[in-house]
Amino acid sequence: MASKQKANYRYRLKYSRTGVTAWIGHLDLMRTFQRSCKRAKLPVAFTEGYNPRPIMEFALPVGVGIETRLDPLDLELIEKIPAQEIMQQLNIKLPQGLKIEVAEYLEHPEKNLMSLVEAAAYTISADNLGTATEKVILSNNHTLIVERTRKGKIRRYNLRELIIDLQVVSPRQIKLLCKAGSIANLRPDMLLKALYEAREITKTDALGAIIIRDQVYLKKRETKLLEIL
Amino acid sequence: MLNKSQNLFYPNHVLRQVEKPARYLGHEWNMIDKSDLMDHRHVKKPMIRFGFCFPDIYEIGMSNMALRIIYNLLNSREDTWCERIFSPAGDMREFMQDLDIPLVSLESKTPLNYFDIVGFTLQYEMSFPTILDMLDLGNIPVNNSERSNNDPLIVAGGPIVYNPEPLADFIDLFMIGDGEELLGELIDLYKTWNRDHESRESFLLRCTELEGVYVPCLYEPEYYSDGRFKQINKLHRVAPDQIRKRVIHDIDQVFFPTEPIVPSTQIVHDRAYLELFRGCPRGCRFCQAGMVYRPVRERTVDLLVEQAKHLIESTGYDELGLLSLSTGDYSDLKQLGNRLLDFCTEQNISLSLPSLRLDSFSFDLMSKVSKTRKSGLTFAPEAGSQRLRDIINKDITESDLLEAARIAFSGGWNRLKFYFMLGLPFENADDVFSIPELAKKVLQVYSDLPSEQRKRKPQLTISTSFFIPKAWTPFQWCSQIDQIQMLEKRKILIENMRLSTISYQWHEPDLSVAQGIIARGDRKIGKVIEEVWRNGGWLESWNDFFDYERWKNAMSKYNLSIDFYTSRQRSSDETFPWDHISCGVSKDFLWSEYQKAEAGELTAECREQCHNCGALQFKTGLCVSHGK
Repeated sequence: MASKQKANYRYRLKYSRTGVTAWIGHLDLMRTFQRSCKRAKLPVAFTEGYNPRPIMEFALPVGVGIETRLDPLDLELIEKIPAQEIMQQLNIKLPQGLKIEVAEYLEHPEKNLMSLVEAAAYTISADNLGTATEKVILSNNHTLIVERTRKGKIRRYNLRELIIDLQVVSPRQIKLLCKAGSIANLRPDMLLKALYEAREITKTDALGAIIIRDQVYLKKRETKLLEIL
Repeated sequence: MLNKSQNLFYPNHVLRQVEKPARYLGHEWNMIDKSDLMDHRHVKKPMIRFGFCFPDIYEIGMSNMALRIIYNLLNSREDTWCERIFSPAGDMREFMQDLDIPLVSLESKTPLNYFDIVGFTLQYEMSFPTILDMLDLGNIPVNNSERSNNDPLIVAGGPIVYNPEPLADFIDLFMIGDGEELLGELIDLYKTWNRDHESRESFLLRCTELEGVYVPCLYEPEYYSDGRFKQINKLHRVAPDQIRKRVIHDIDQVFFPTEPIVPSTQIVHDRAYLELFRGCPRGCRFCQAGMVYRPVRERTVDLLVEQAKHLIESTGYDELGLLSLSTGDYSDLKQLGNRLLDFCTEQNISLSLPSLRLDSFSFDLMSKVSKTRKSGLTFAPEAGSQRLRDIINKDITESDLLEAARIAFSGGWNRLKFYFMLGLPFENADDVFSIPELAKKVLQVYSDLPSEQRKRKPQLTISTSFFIPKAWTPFQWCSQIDQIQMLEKRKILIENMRLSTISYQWHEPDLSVAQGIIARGDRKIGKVIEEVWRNGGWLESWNDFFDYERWKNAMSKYNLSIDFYTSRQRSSDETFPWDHISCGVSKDFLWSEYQKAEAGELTAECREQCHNCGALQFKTGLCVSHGK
């Protein structure tokens, strides 16, 4: 019997992923969260219709091999439970490497978390990366075009338009603040590609980089982005 | 969870360039890590390191029930740590070869040659070259004669171990039959092996004390000058004359994994599984599993429901599958189905039913299971004509099938899949033509329905494989058809099923022939497998990697005739290379079944009548509960 009245409770969780779990693809990561919720016996709300799915929205898909620190994830439950309790229960049942760092109940739930994403911050480390970034990107104003093939189509991106802020921390580490979300999105591997195509770092070092997504910034609710800008 | 350090082992740049790196990294939910119970020199505690090898890639291997059972069974022992090893896929294999990375376990990233015991599961013949490849990638000599006292003990078991001869040069010790008890006995015995003071040969000899253990190097085959197998000669007097399979007597008491690993990346059968029973009461004459798993031993409903709950709780899976050779034959399917359904509905879990018996209860159950989702239904008539179904003892009539199709169509299932075999013994042209005829009759059933019951346009899938005679079946004497005949039969089906509502799928003739060589191969075939592997055949079970030329060349290099192994009809008195292995069913019974096939006579299923196949000697299961 499908009941008409539906008052779900929406929570915003922020998760970190480290170690082995950084190498799970996005779809597999979603499945892993869904199964963990089931193990934690959380009363997750399901979509209606042919194929009921747990209502769970990720802010921004994360590429294979990228760690996260505070990636947002919205979850709807059919019962109201203290956010801290959800975090505790889920953390017991998440595979090692995945962890909920923050959980809050949304008094004024906004749907479609993905559309709120504005920017993301990354820390990237690789041999010579800082030095190469200085030379190729920071010391001049040339346009930086990178090509990406997706579904057989070649797309060209001007990286400069996507970078909000870029800092060299050390000869082998940089911090990147860039546009993110469905309208404009910079993937860190595009930046690395620009650097090895400029022959300032080796392809192997670029592919071997340690990439950490420190933050995903959302419109309205986050003030930090404005502070940085 | 304790925050143990995770060892990625592979360099980042490698992981970024391979497909699905999660295949190689382990640390999934429910993985067992005993690293804190030991250190690498075994000082803290003696720990037997068991490497469970599945000779295929992660997604296939992790779907396998034997792996799930043995992994958790062995790890339930305090003195043993069982870890998993799979074949790498092509991309990772290239990196491993270029960068000199050995094949390692998923749990502790330990190279294969550091294990005490390395065990392979034998699920399908074409995985045999992969076994050699994994040994080699793991720095273990592929030939058992070249191994030293420091190399791991290489063991193997599984559903196709009943003809172990093609692997006799590579495996130290085979375990025949149910492994649950035998594996424990083997580990206990292994602990008494002091490698500094006792030779490998001497230890292997002691292993023959365990019932169900076959040590191939203690035997030497003898052949007639025409190549036929003459007899197996014992090289040591204590080696048993015949090795009888092991049987679990109390299936309710035996270990079952209710906390299996939940993969982090999607696998082929990504769901929790219950094992309803072992064995099959039907006795289809082509089916090896139906013969070698006798007698039927069922789990009780109460236990299964309890296991289902535990499984879902520990894994978080949203799908539960039922496993057995013929689920529809479970004696209390009604009660089990209803109780599982209640539980699944409550928990938002979908219950996935394999092909069932074609009765109304099964349909009733299915319609409850898939209230919204009407996925396809699968039927396995195996042969198109009644005559041929009688020959293979497949107890389904055409009217059963058409009635099932009628219920399916009117219930809203529009996608039906039918499995058939081509090249069955005694098959004639009419039998082949009867497959497209049957398909058309099924479509006619739909057209004949009143319009309000014709919900969606039907879509039939007809799938054919080529029959491969298997050891320990009534058809072990039979000729396998060659590629020319295979192509002719396939052509008949293609030409007679050119309809938009029928799609036709078939197996590759060349692959079926290569599989046929191994299925009834003798010890000489070991050299062929090795040659195929040395020439680059490492994942021959995959169409994309399989190359028939390699098999042809390897056979001719050793002066072996393909036809001798595949299409040759064996005479009634021929001794087979597998006759010294016993699955409990007698050769006399198999021969009488073969003769009944020739006469087109059916053999009733075990519950109706005992046919004295030989399985009664195990004094358990259906043999004693329904025995004479």
